[in-house]
Amino acid sequence: MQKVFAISINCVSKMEQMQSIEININIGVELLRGNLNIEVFETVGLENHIDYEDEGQSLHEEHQRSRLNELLDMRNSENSSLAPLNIEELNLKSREVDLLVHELTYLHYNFKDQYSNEEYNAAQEKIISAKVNPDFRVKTIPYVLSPSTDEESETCAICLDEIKNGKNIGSLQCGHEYHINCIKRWLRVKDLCPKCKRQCLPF
Amino acid sequence: MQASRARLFKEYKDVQREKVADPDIQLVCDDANIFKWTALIKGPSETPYEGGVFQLAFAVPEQYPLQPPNVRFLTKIFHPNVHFKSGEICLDILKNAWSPAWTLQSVCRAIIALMAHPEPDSPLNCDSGNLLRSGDVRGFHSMARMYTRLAAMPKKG
Ligand SMILES: [Zn+2]
Ligand SMILES: [Zn+2]
Repeated sequence: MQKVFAISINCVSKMEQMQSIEININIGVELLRGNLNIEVFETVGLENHIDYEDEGQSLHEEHQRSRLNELLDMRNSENSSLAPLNIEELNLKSREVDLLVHELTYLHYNFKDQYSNEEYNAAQEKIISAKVNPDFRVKTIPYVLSPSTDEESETCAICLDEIKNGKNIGSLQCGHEYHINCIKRWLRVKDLCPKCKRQCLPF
Repeated sequence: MQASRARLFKEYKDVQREKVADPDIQLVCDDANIFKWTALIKGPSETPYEGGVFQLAFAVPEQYPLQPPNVRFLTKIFHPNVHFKSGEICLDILKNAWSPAWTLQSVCRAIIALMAHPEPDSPLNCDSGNLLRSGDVRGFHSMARMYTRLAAMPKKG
């Protein structure tokens, strides 16, 4: 069974957050198919997570927490054999709440009907334990996609388009820069920097 | 699909604009299909391929540049890392060492480099590999030279 490290990427905008969810969905599909064995969900980069307007931030958090509550209620009532979980006990950071909500929601809407209850529940539990189990949090993944501060414009080696100043630029640890979308697509294939071949993930 | 087209179109424009001009490489895109390219490359000097012009065929996958193009020699070449019949090329960057930072043009350059520096230990052409491995450099050169004359040079007369 292939080992995978699910990555959640620092998001610089809502748009990019959607794209990072897309990655998680793909991982979710593979997980359900039994092809993957999720070992780690990355939880670093909390400080960089999406900044909504001040007021929006607390509203957003409140909303996400109530959404997670609903999702956990659903889980608790569906899996009577499991110890019920509630959001207070989980003691999650807001970033983790975000990720859990997204992943469980997608799992629910996209896969519930296509898979057996057992498969669905197993995937759900994996996602939850990846988020709440401290053992899963030990390892962090030392690669960050972050908005560039570089003023120069150059070419993205993946699409050959210009890299313009702005927030769609992702730079890897080695310092090489690409469009965030471009590098995300490549890192799903291989965890190496296209330019210098340095490993971006520790496995 | 869309990303691969856009990227190939970029490469096409760069070739047209001679932004990546290289006198040893002539890269041409099929009129009807941007996923099919051919290249003419000059045999590197001080090798048995000198003076020859070799044709390569590129079949670009829809996942390009996340996946490497499929490249083979259309011109017969006697080289340890090229299959003598199929023209298939054994080159790491076209397989597991692929990176999207390669372009069709730079792949051509890598193939020219491979022509100048054969890797006899991973032969696709066993005869050629064996000649080199057994230290018969002259034997290898004369065979390679003969095929360059036969297949890659304009016929005299
Ligand atoms: Zn790009
Ligand atoms: Zn790099």
